[in-house]
Amino acid sequence: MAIIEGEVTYYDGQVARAQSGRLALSETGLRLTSDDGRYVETFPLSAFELFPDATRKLGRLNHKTRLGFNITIKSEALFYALNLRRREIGHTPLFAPERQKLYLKWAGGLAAAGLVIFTIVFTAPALLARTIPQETWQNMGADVKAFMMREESLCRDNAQGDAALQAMIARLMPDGEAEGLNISVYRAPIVNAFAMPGGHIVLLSALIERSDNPDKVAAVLAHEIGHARLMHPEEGYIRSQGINLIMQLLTGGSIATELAGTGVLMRFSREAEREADAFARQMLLEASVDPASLSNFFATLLGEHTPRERNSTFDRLGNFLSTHPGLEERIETRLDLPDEVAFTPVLTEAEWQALKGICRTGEEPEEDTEETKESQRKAQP
Amino acid sequence: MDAISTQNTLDTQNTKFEYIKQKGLKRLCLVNLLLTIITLGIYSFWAKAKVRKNIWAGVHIDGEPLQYTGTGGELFKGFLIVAFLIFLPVGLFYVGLGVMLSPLHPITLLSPLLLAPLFFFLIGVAVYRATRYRLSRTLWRGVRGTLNGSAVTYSFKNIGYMLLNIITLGFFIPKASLKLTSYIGNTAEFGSEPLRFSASAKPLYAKFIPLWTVGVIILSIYGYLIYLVISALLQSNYSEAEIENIISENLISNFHFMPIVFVLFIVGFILFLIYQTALLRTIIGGFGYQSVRLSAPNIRTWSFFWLLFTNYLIVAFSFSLFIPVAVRRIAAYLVSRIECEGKIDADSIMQNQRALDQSGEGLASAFEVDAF
Repeated sequence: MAIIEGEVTYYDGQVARAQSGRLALSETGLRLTSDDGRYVETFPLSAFELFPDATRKLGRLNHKTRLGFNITIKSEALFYALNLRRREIGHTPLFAPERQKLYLKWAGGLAAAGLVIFTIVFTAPALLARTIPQETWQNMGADVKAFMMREESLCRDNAQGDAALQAMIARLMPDGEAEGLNISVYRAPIVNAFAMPGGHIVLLSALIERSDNPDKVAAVLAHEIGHARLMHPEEGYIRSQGINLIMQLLTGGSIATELAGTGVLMRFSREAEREADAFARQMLLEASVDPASLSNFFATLLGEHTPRERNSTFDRLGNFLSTHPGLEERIETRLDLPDEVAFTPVLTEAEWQALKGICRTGEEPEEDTEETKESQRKAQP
Repeated sequence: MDAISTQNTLDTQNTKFEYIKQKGLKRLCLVNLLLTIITLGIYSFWAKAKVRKNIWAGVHIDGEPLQYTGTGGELFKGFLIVAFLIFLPVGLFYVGLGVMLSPLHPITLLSPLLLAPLFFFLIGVAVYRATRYRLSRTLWRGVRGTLNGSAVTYSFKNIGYMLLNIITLGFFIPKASLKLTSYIGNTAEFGSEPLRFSASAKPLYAKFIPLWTVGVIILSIYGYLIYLVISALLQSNYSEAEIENIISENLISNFHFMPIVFVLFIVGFILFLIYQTALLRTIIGGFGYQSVRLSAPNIRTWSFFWLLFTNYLIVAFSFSLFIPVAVRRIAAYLVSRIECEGKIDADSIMQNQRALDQSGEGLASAFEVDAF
């Protein structure tokens, strides 16, 4: 039963000629007839979208799938009747068959994109890091080290200090296990150490000079060896490049996505730190060096923070956003030691003094400055 | 809805272009911004499609509005295809180079230059394909347009003209602009009928030569300063502090050039506006469809400057939120100034038979050469 009928002009999408006709709005939909009363077609209301028409101040029905099939409403009564049923026009039920195909396509597309992203973030870095030849990583790591340490000087002129460092390395990695690693000390007023691709490990002189015993230095070194052996720098490089690429591709690199990408990297970074800590404790244990030295080192670092700093919101937020786990967590993590295990210092007292002087070439050690104390508080290996 | 042009739309002698603003664009800008932020930028494709629907619907030819039928889904799909088929492999190539040679190796650092020819080629392809996509999604009286030429040919022409522009210090620019427009214009169809484009660059050169001369003078001054700095640097031992000193000393000692350069920039800007309006008149005047010939004698320098100036204020004070409003003002300015000689015989135009592309503008979007 027709509810209301009115004059329209329409284009059939085949020719640009305007055709006159009449449109009847019924409960089941729309029925279009030509001027001479000839039946043209019946449509459900969901087939169209209703747009205001600027010229006639009435409306225009545009067919959603038959592009170019448009009906211009010329009758005010019909236009208002259509407006009353506006919610039905262009509305396709959520689970209509025509929507299901679209849902499937989107689901397939999202799954494919998810698979690519999962591969780039989770699977590919570990695989690629081990597929690329070690020599390539070594060359790359050497370049990165040269760039990072371009303003610091390499400590290599102190034979006794160097011998002490080699003794520490031999104790941690006997029987040539250190092959493929390149461990060096640079003069810098910051307590830190880091591992770079290709087995390049750098210890900064302040770390050695400000430690109160060699076991703590050995613990930090073992931690960095852990990173190198577990290929964290290589995996991290590939992962960061991949995430960066995805973010750039998807959104052109907005701030929100930069943050999201950084968040993913931090999560992996904290995981890597925990793995390197565990590796270091095991390595120390096997070398009969007290594994608690690592926790002791972190406790020393924590001691540099004031209680107020430790409990501040910013500090807790800092832990959450940090690339490293919190210091408390790293201190509290300890190995279950076997019974009757005996530990000995990693170096003799003479070797330790020689190592402390590895960067000295006849000069006195630097005085503590506010700047170095501050950097000591902030840095974590 | 404001009628920009008040002339009689039922003029039976000549086809009439007019622009009638659609309501709701500012509100749409706000909603788009919010949804784009919430979706980390992904909604921007749907936002763009909605803005186009609004702007397109304001263009009326013989009283009938244009209809934009493109969707955000098509734009997003096009972008994803380009992102994963072109930019992901290129990105992986860069990453691979960084790993194989080191991120700081000269070849890695210069690698973007290695791919520059490819990108120049792709930019040309992007412009042509995006134009075809937009035409195919533009309906008037139910029929759509298209381009039936080759995006590759257009791109090679673009690269060729770019090289000629470099060789001639830009003297070829007007000719190149018209030649590229000619390729698009003469491969364009609307419905079953072709568009035509023919325009001579000779009259344009009267407006271009003063602009080009000012440009060459400014470039010469900069070239002279760069020459002074380089020749001084060649005599130094390249310490960082020394390089900075040499650059600042040479710039300070030649500071008397700066007022001249400033005046030349002002003069150059005015000459640029004069040339740009002449170019717009020539391009619009070059188009024809059926027996209709277009012209736009009322695109004048002062009104065009005022349009750009007020658009600048709108964009600046809205922190870029109302860029679509500025774009619509440009569309309204141009469309309402188009005059026609002859009338379109719409009854004889059949639907265009070229198959529709299923996605659009991925390349153009990636290279940021897409317009609204």
